[in-house]
Amino acid sequence: MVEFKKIDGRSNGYWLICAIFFVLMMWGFYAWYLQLVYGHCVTGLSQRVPWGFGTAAICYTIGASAGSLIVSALSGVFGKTEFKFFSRSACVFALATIVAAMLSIMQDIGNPENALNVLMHYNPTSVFSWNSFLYSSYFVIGFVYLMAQFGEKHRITKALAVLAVAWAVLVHSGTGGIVGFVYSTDLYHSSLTIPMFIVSAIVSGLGLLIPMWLLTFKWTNRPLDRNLMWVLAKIMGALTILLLYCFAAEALDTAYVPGNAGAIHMALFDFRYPYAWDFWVIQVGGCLLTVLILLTPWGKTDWGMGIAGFIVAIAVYGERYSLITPGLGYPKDLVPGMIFRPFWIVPYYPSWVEYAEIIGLMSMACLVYCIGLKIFAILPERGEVEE
Amino acid sequence: MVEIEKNGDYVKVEQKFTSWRDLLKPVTEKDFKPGFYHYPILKRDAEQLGIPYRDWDPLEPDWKLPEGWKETFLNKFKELLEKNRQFKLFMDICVRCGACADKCHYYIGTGDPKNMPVARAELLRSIYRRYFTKVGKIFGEWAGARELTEDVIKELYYYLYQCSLCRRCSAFCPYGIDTADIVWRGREMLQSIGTVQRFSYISIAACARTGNHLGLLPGGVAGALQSVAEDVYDITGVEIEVPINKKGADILFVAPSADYFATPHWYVCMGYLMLFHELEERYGFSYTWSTYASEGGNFGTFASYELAQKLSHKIYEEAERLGVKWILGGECGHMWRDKHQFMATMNPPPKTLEDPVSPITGTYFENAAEAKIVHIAEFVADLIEHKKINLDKSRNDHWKVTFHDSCNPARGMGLYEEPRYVIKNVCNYFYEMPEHSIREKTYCCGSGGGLLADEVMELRMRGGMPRAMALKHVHKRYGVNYLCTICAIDKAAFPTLFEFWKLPVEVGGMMELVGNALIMSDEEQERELDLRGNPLKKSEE
Amino acid sequence: MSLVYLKLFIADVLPYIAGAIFIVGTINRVINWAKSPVPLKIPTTCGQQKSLPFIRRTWEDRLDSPYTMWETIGRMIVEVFLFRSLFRNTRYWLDKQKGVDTRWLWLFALLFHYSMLIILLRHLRFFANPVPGFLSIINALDGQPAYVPALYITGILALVALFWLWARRILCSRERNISYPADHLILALVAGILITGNLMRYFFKVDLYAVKEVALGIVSFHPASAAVVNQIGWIFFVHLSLVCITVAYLPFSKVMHFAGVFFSPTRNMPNDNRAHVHINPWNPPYHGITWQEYYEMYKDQLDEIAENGYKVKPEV
Repeated sequence: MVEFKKIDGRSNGYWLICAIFFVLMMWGFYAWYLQLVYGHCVTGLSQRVPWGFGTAAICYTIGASAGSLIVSALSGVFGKTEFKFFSRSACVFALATIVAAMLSIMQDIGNPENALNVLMHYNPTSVFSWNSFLYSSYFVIGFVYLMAQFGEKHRITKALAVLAVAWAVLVHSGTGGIVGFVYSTDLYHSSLTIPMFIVSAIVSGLGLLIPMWLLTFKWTNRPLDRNLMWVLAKIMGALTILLLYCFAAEALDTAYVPGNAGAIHMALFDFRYPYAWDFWVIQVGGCLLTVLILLTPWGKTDWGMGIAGFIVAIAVYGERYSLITPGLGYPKDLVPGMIFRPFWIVPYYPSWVEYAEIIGLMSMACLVYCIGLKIFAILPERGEVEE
Repeated sequence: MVEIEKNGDYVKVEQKFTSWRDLLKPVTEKDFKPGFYHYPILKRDAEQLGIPYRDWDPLEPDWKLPEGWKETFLNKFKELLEKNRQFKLFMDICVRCGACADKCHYYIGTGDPKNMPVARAELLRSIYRRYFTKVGKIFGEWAGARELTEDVIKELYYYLYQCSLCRRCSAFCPYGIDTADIVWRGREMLQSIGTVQRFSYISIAACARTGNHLGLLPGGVAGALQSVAEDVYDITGVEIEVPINKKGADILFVAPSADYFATPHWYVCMGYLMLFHELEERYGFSYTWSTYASEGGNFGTFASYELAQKLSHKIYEEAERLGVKWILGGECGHMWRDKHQFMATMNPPPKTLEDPVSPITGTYFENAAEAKIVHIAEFVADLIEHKKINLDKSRNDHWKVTFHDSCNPARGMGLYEEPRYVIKNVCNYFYEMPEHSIREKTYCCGSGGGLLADEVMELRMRGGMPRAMALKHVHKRYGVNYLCTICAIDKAAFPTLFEFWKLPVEVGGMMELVGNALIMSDEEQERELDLRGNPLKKSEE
Repeated sequence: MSLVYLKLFIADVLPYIAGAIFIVGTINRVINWAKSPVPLKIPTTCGQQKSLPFIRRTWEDRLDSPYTMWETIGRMIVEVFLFRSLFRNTRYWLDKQKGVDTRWLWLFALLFHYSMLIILLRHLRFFANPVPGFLSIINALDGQPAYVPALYITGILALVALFWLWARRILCSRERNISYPADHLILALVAGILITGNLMRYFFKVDLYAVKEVALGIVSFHPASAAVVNQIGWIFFVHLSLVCITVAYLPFSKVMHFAGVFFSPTRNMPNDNRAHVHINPWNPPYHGITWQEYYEMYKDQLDEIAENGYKVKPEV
């Protein structure tokens, strides 16, 4: 029987962490306010590259949420009691990040009330419309799943865990579908994108949750079974290797098409533009570094696991960026013969506003997690199985 | 409906629900369940205290209420409304949100809807509306008002003595409506027509006569303390001289009389004597007991304002007569509600008392500056912090301790951390009970507020169920075998309660643990037994 | 013809009657409470008292068991604006014999009350010319401009929260037990007000210029004329009469808790009883024995203790 207990939450350290997250969140909201007042010109977006950090943030937060929910449901789906330790806190984090995702959609739109168009003029053939339905229902399912856990209704929790995993996969496949289905851009339209999104979701979810749990248990003086964390870290590492394999497969597949040569050259090898840097250093480099860390003996320690997780969390963000923006940066041949200005490569450098927005949103999710620890019993009293 | 395991059997706990109309219909003697109603007051107590008396039986239909009882009752109601702003307020502002409903341990244990704090208050509120508000006079039942009939008095007698005045409901109410205060006023009104219970008044009358609830005469008090000292000698080999009625002592010590009479309070008394003797030996600490002020408790706080005032007067009177500087109080629950919130208002402190400064550490007890009475837990915590006494925690290793916050120190005083600080410094194994059953949400033992009578045993056992179940949780999880409580009624109620609910947990006080751990400077041999006579772990090796 | 007189009555006369009843009734109630003295200082201490310096007392304890005037004010603020006590609410699971947090009542009560507050503030635009600046901020935050007229979230939220609270009162057996007709009546009245208000805004629209003239007329004691009143649709008068009936009913109902909460001694008094003794204005004189009488009753036993030097020793 896992006992969940609220944290005391009265130490100076706790208030300091909450304060830091709060300030970062306010900074993010201030950046959004500037964007609302002055328009998208405060960002690095342009007519050629209308999707940038904002969209990457959407995909990232949805991925983190889906990944967290899948991790949360591990105990229900696989029946392993050890994983029950994390069910509630991962679920709370999942719900917080999906709210962050919805907010980042609002951010990206520019006129948030346009979001109501989805309700008023629903277009059933658009991937976005499917997604809007999926995200809302995902929140409801996640919320009911959390309520079932608080109500200690074990059978319903198990059933909902399976449903939650299925829905999380569906949700994030839908997000991947945005990029994967579109065929007008050279670097989009890969069927591998959708399963890769799921893998990245779990990787980024674990990448964020592992350091969060290590720090939470350490700072609340509660025992945590390190072997359990290592199991999670191994899953994360294995999936990162799979992710690297997917990157290679996708890049080769796209590069094989002769017509894509120019686009691929820009995206992967032209170091005058940020896209290549992001791909090799942040995305591939980050994943490789994570795997390397986990292969060394240092990787088994708290610091090793935590840093590996954090690096891969950032690497996956880089992956979202490189999925979305290079395709837009390269000039498009939409209609043969038509010149779609500007017919040159447009680099995309995100501005501080966009950095602030994503950091603010992730801080909001972390703040919700911290407050949740105190006012709800979501952290187990002991993170280890008792004899 | 659930069945909860008790000793040898199961107890069915079922929640019953009625309609609002039925809630207004009074419960009469036909529905009185044995084990839930009190016996009526005895003649000698009524006469001593000036309460109208007649011979009556709660199970008879005719309660022989005195002439003009309705007028007397309503006049008393009016007088209490005029004199007590909070009473008037609580009659008016309940919004029936139901937050208090499942907070009362008697409701949880019995399932009787009229034990919900909101419904208990409605018993009086319905009368208030009928006679003191225009809407109630005009609309009657539809406004939730009802006539004051004999049956209503019967219902009041039945339910006003099913509340232990623990104030748990008041912690959850958005406006802090204090059902304990309402019940206290209701009991005062019943007292005006002599329809009161027996148990508290026996003790009140005894205390008004002899200075303590037990009715012990001065020789009896002295003899009891002598026995305690003898038991201390048996365990420690130290001969302790117990000062009684000593003029010129620095501090007057007042403890509940149960401490030198009943078990497991006895061990706490041993702890007191040992600690004070040690302080006397090392620092010249000077204190005294008093046979006149031989009762810290105050059952008058369960009956009426005047009776509460009557019983707490002697503390300050004695403090002034003996010329002490300030007063130290022992381990008792409702005593501290009385001493913290009532005593100094009802009986103004004498000018001869000084600001309470610990003679050993020099700490100024700022929070007791005007009332000049300090809790033993505050005093001992201060001593421990300044390392003025030597403690050996391992002597309490055979106890896995949990702490029960008694109602009144918790919700009437705010004494949470001091006893925990002391306990954590005198024993190695301490575990807290589940969060919703401790601190401000603590559950009553079920026997407070004048309900420690044998005739309401089933009510007490059911009322104590939530506390027992919370203890069961830590008993199963951590092997807790000692429940520490700083209330005398708790110590009397819990042994029976835990036996009923099949919990092999010992009950004891904080000072017993301190006494166990205390290394006395004039103790010649290694301590081999704890204060109960159990061998300590070390000596078993 | 007679309809105009009814409309005139509702628009020009009823608000004054209702307002007068409300003001006189509330003042009456409050004075009635204030007249009675507070004999004892009885705060319900839900946190650690002020004690020795090394005893942990966090800011939460300060707000739950206040020691100074400011801490008490803080406690009242947290109670009135954040419904602190409801946040503490728990439910006892009889089958598992344990208590769990339950914050739904807190959430919906808070939503309802804050929505009502914002709705009331929004209505100020009818009673002031020119419209105060802060109201446009409320409109910007509350109104959903994608709709015309802008969809006010609080209008919907208040209704949702009210129905949730009402459903709780009807569906939960414990609540149904203790709900009197008066409780349902006030909920019905407020529901009527909210529903007619929403209907009036989105479906059965009324001439708002005329409404503002009526409103300005009420506060400036220039009752609107029949011509103005005739321009307004019937639903406005339903809304206004419900409002007037509710406002007039308030002093007689439990809704007086809005004033009563400030007088409650279990919340508005600091927990410093032993440090600052409370004086009871009507404290009666002591009736009981004195030490001298006690001594007379038990003289021989007390003298025996005195002879032993005011102490007892164990007999070993």
